Amino acid sequence: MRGLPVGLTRRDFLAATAALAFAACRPLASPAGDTASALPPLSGPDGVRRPLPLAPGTRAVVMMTLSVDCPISNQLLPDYRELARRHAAEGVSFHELYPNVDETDAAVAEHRDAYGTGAAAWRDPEGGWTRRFGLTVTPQVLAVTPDGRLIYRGRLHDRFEGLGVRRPAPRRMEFAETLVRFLAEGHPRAVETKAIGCRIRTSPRPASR
Amino acid sequence: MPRRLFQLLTLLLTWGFLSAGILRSAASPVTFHDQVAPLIARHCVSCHRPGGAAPFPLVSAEDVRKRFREIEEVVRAGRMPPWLPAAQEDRFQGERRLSSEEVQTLLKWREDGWQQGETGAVPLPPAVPGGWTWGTPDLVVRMPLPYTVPATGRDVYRHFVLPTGLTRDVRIAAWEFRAGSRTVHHAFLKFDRKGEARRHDAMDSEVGFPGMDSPSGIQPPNGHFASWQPGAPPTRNPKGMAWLLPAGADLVLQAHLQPSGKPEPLQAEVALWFTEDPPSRAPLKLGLVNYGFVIPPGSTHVVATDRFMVAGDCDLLGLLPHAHYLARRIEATAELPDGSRRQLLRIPDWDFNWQGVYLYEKPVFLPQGTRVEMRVHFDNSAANPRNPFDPPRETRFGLGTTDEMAELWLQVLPRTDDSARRLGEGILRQTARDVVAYNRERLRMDPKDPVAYLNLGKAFLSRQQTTNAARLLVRAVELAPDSDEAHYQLGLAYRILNALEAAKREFEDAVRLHPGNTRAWGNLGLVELDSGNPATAVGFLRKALELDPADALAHAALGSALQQSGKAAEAIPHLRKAVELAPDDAGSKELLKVLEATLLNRQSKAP
Ligand code: HEC
Repeated sequence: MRGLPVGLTRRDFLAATAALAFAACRPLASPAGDTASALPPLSGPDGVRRPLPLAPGTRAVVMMTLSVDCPISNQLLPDYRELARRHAAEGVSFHELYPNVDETDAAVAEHRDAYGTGAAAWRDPEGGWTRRFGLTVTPQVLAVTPDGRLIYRGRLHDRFEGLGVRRPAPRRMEFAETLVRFLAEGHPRAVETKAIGCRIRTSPRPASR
Repeated sequence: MPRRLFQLLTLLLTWGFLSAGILRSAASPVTFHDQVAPLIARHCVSCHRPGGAAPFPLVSAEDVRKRFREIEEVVRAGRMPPWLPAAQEDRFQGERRLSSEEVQTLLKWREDGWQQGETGAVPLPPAVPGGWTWGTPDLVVRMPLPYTVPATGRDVYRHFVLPTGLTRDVRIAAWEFRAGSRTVHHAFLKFDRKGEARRHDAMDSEVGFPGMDSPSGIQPPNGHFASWQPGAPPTRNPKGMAWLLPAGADLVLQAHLQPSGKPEPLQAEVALWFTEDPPSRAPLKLGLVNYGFVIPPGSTHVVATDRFMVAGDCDLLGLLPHAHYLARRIEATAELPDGSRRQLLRIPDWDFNWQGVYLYEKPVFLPQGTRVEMRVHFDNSAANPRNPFDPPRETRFGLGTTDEMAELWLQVLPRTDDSARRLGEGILRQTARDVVAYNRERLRMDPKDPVAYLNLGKAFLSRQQTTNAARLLVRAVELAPDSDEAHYQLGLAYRILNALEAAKREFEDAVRLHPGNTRAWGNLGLVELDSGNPATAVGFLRKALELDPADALAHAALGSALQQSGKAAEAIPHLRKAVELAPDDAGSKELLKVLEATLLNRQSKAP
């Protein structure tokens, strides 16, 4: 039990690297009418803005929003990564999104040193994803089809009922259930639940004098 | 007065007040420096500071502003600062509560446009030199090995053994807990004199052993609570009320740990400061408990209650309520002998995560005859966000995380020796009743639970229902043939029933299973004495005294055995010791007098 999380994280990292390498080999979506272009670009770990690389046959794109210092997104991160491992082979492309504009690449790198590397990490400095998909808090899970139709937006599960109200264990795994159903049925139903967490900061806000 | 004029006046006055209000607020917008920072300093930074117990600091204006939506939600809901009891007449030490004006001020900072005012951050409490509040501790005990809190999953409830290495008894004047990890959500400090915690630890493959509540041998210090939660200040016991930490006892940390998202090492420390001051005041703990409740699924009406009649004048120093996840409200009231009622504690929204001890600012006097009542209201509906089950399940008393509990502990200081004695007797009666209720509940859960049979047998023995006791203890021995305690207790029952041969067999089994069982050796001696074999008895009694030289009963019995074997001179020191240890032992006193007189007689007659 004791060594497990570390081991998993490493495997995680390998999977993520492999996915990125694979993505880099194939030509990126052309601007005209290709599926991935329905999704706004994001900023990668190198700070370079690029369209999301999607493997052929991708059925769903999943993001969970994270913050470098939100205790709730930190706490749910391992559960999200576990889910990603379970469904990675089913044409679901998992990602981790740092939407707060005031969190730097360096802060994100430091966070990943501490919490391990799961799915590919992205920042959203222009707020393309945050605005387009109405993301409000970290952690919040978003699942869309490659052409941008909503599958799910909301909480990963119901461990948190409110800020400071925490269940002993999650009772409902709403996202996992929605994803499984989507994979079975093949068409998105735009399921929404309320996510509990830290508000996303879309513009820097220095306190005024 | 013409009505028109009146209306005009009213209008003018109202307008005047309104505009004055507007003017005032326009004149003095809320700024971070003048209003927000002092408020955060008073109510939040004890935890929300760098390295503090909370997961993020609230120090700069930016820290507060970037989390303002969350802050708004938690302060409006009264969840931060964390404090469970409702405001009441008898106030508690360290109450943490924002007034509604303070909440308004905080929110107005946003309305007024986040003005900084003069620059500067929230003033932080001064750092403690060397890290411990009261200078160099007399002893720092630390978890010998770190435990790794897993990254995710259910909360972890674990006990950790902290050997003290003390070779003499010490009195603890003050203690301070250092978690060293934010995963610790609360902790109780307990003692174990019999190595029970070490045994449990040895059976678990990881550091420590699990449990939301402790095995019975692991107890908080006598008459005290020792509880820690994030942000709790270190504890200094009131003068004359130091606790005893016996030589060789282990400290046991009972911790509630919350996974943080990454594996976290935990190696907590406890600093202790000793005192040589003799104890002058001995507080007692009264427990109100209910073991018999049944909470059907979906129900929101079940209330577990218990009452306690205060048998002597005393001052109530503090309270410790305890329940698990289904409890929603906890109330404690006192009904005074004059019929008046006093609210001792009301927790409107119980949260297991923030359980703790509440000590009064001024002790509450409870005159003899006061009835204290506990009421724990449960909510086993799906609407209770903390319900561990979906759909809800029938829940009863138990030590598991998904079982429930209903307890309220009172720390009282008796006013006189006489009230101390009465209170002590009351506690014993209550405990005897609770032991029976508790163990019946255990048998309901597991009809083959030898410990429950053993405890019930002991309870009936102390109530002098010996035949009943023997029946239960026979069952305990059948179910746990390797338990020396079960054999010993059954032996006692047989001895009281005068079944000496049977008693002897049980005591022999007890010492065979555990040669350190002093009382079993002593009782073997008593059986031999009763059977008319004083010489054999002497051997057993000497063995008992070898193991525990302070056993008054063994000294008395040995004195009498030696006297019966014609060794009066050898008997005298043991009888003296017996009388010294137990001045109420009239029998030994009498025998001693006789022996001393004969001996004196003989000496005076000697040439
Ligand atoms: C006694 C320590 C303590 C004090 C005092 C305290 N907090 Fe907290 N706070 C915590 C802890 C610990 C957490 C982490 C969540 C938890 O463990 O319940 C927390 C979490 C929070 C959160 C995030 C909510 C969440 O569930 O993650 C906010 C916002 C917050 N506190 C604001 C405040 C404010 C504002 C104050 C002062 C008015 C304050 N706190 C006072 C200990 C404290």
